[in-house]
Amino acid sequence: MKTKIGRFVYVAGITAALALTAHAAEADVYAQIAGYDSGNSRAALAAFEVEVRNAGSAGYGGIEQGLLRVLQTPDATFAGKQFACQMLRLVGSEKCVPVVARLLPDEKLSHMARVALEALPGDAAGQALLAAMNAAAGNVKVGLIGSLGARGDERAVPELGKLLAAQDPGVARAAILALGRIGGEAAATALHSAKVPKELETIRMQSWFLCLRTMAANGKESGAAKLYRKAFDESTVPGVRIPALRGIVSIEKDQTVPLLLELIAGGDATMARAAQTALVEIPGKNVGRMLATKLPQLAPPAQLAVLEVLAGRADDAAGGCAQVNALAQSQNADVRLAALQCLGTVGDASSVDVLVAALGGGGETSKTARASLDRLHGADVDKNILQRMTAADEALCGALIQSLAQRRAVTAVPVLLDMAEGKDGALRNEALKALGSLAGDAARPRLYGILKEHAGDKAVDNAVYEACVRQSNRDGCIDEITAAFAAAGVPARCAMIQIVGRLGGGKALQIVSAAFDNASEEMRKSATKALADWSDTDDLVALLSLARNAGDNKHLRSAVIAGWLRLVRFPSNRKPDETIKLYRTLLDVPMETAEKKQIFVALGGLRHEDAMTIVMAGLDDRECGDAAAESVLKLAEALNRSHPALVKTALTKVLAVSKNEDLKKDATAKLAGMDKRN
Amino acid sequence: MQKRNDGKSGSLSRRDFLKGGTLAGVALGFPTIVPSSVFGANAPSNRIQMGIIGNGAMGSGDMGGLAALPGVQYVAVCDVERDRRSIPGCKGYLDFREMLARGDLDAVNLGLPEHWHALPAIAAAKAGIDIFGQKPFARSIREGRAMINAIQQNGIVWQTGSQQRSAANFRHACELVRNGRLGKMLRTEVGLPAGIQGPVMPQEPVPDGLDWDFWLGPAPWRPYTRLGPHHKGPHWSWRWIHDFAGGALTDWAGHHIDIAHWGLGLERTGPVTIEGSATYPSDGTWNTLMSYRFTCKYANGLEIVVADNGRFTPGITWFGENGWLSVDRGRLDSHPKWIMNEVIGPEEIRLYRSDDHCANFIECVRSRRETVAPAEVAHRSISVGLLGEIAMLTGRKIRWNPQTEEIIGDPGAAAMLGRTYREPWTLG
Repeated sequence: MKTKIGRFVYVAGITAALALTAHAAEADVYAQIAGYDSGNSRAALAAFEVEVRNAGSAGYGGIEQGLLRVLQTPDATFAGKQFACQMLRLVGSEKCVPVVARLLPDEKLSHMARVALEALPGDAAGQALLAAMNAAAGNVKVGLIGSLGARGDERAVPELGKLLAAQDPGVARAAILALGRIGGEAAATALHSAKVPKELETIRMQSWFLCLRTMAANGKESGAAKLYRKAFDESTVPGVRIPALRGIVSIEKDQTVPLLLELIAGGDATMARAAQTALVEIPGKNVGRMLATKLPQLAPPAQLAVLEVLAGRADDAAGGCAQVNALAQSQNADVRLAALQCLGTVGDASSVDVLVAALGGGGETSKTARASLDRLHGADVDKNILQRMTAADEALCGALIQSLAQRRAVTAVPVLLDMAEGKDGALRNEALKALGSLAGDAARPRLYGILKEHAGDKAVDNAVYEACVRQSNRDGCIDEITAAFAAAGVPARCAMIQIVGRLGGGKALQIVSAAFDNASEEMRKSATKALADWSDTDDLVALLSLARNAGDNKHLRSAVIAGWLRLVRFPSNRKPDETIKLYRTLLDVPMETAEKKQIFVALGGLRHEDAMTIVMAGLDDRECGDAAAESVLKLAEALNRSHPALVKTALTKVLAVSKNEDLKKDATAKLAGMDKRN
Repeated sequence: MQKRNDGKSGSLSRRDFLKGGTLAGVALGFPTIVPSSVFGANAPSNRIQMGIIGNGAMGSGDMGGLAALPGVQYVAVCDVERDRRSIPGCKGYLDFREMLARGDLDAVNLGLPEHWHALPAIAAAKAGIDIFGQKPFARSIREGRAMINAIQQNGIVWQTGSQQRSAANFRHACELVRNGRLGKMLRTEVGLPAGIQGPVMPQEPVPDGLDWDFWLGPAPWRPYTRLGPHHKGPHWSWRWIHDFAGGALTDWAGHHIDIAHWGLGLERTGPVTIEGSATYPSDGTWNTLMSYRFTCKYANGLEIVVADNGRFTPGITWFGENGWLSVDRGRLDSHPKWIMNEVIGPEEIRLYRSDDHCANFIECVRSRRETVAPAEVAHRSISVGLLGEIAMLTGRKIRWNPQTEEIIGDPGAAAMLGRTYREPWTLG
């Protein structure tokens, strides 16, 4: 601590103190804390916090003594004492208790004294809080009771128990809450037997229930369950009955299903709601089966509640599917909709017919049925959907194809390929979309065949791309597609170039760049577009090499630079320094003036000091000077607080070098603004 | 809508129920929204009456989303600033306890500073009122657990305003990770915004219409200052002051750490060690962290590293043996690309699907299902942020027991698990 005191003093702006002894400087720090007031500079406090973090627990003893001196300084400010207490919470020991405890009765400082003592381990702090609490009144007493509750010290229970019947309702309420936080048998007994004012009765019961929860967790479940049950049976107050019910359920679990169903079917809306909540939460698959088998015996309102519970539980009903299938055809619209939703979690292959029939119901019914069909579990679900497709009209068939795609139903691929090779427009497009998600190794060659026949059809292009991009062996897939299209016509090979470009990687770059040597104008155009749309950020370095080695092939170089400038702005895990390095490398590539201007413009958006250095150098470029100056001005906005010296130098250079009066005017204004702030 | 005292709520009438109620003994009025099991989901009697506590930017934004849903009606507004207590059709309240005691609210949305997240939530839960709360769940881990106790004990439906859980790209990313598309997990990086240093804000007279003492609530007393230069009153910039909030870290942990947890299946547990470092403002009224980085290790060997955006890509990036997957608002990316394009089948792990965060809350209020962003999950995500905050404030490696929620062997650090409330406020 003492070795770092010089930094304190520096931060506080007292440079002369550098020559002081460590002891004197330390005293100065604590004097600054004692004199601190809210609304003034926190520099000394902030520096002190850094020192405490660096000191480690071994250095806390000395800091504690200094902070206690602050508390004992007669003219120390409230804010200074407040800060000292907050720091004592971290560094304090039992040694601080006597000094801090003197502040506990103080109306202004009691809170801060509690901040220091509330979490301090050991008996001394607890005894000091208890003694102060016994002697205090009003809000100070309430605060002290709260701190005793936060400590969870059972030794405070007898004194807190005496306060449950206090005249001051604030004190009685605080004592009830504190005993609930402390928990344990003694607190439970105190709360159980207490007579409190009527308006505090529900809170007393809720605090008591917290104690019962601890009791149950400590192995006394049956005893706790009996007490919960008694409270549930004897009370008419929802604020008591609901926590009691939840206590019973937490212990007796699925044995409470009959009670909860009874409540759901009963006439008390509040308790029906509580029972519904509890049924959703009870663990175990047995509950779903128990509920599902009861469904036929319930009236529609209760059926609806149970269906909502089954859907909310998100577990299967283990044999209850038939009952839910039946309710999915109920005359009651609400029950029907709830059952359709429920099938998404409890349904199986036997539910396909019901759900497919509901797909044509329109509105919410169709939407719900489709969502459930997409999630339906179990063997033969996909097979049943495929069977239903054979007799379905176009709209239904389209919905079923979409569902198969969502379900990753690879068994549907042969049927979908047949449809994709057919002529039916709408269904063919749906099949192609699904194949993009589902086609595997065996199916891709047939997709290539479709592409050769329908080059330029975006639905086909996308399907092939989607089928390829899902393959983990990207280069293998590129080899496969290149071989498949080697003898294809120009339109098909143009489409192939686009797809390969979208796949990205070094191999794709080779194939696309080779297309620039092709005699066909269409192929070269396709390659240009592929490079401009390049999407794999990992290829930035490879693209730079391609640009550098483009030689006289200006078209290739331009396309690469355009694609690179677009790609470099994509989100990536690259660090800012790495991005700057990439830009520097790009600027070494021979290029046209227009391309260089684009680079200077792009650098203006980087908010990085090295970007400023690069564009500053660009100011000397006769052709690109204005573009570089515009970027200097843009970067000046972003960097003027973090790098003021650099920004001033750059703006000054704009004034010296630029021939553009508007830019110079802007630079002058920015410089003036910076001077004004300083 | 008259739906109280319909003879179905037990023998004690609501009037009796509330009679004699004082602010000290508030939290007695249980709502009796008629569940859809009684009259059907769309029946008029199934209307949900709501109130708002904290009618600032977040609170009013959430209210806009909720009020637009069928069957939702706002009837009460509570704020400590007079000008914010006026909404057509709503009765205005200064004191949230008075509003909760009116007895006809089915749900509330809370749009409060972090130091006020616990008490109104606990009071609402004890009154049987469902809650749309905001992230971060709580300002301290002890407050978070107290909130969960009240929510669980009373069977409350809780939705956290971590709306990324209702966005398709985040859910899809998490399903890909859960279903092993990345192979064996190596590490997860979470990039959050950095904090900044602000000016010194001088003391001023308390603005007319603002109850400053109530605004401070359980936090340490201080004379009134504006909390930042860009917003009037104490609004918005409270997040940069330690007594009220945890800065950019706790502002965003409830979003991005939550998603990291969701993908890894860690959303109901916590790390076992946390260590890192941060820089803090050297002056100014704001004192929460600026740049930061901390590492969390979990009992199953997984590692999450959290850092400001200057060090990590914003959002969540999971790294596995097969590559990486990165997600943020409006973005999903992977390397190799096939990973992000994978479809999740019906026999694979499917995560909770919600496409509208507000609608999901209202649906769950009616169906009593758990929401997509329940209390325990929100508590666990902000616990990571709060433990990171403790590790960085103390400069020490924290050992944590996620079952008992205790810091092991470091009383000084353990002291920061809770906050000492300014009287007369008490937690519980």
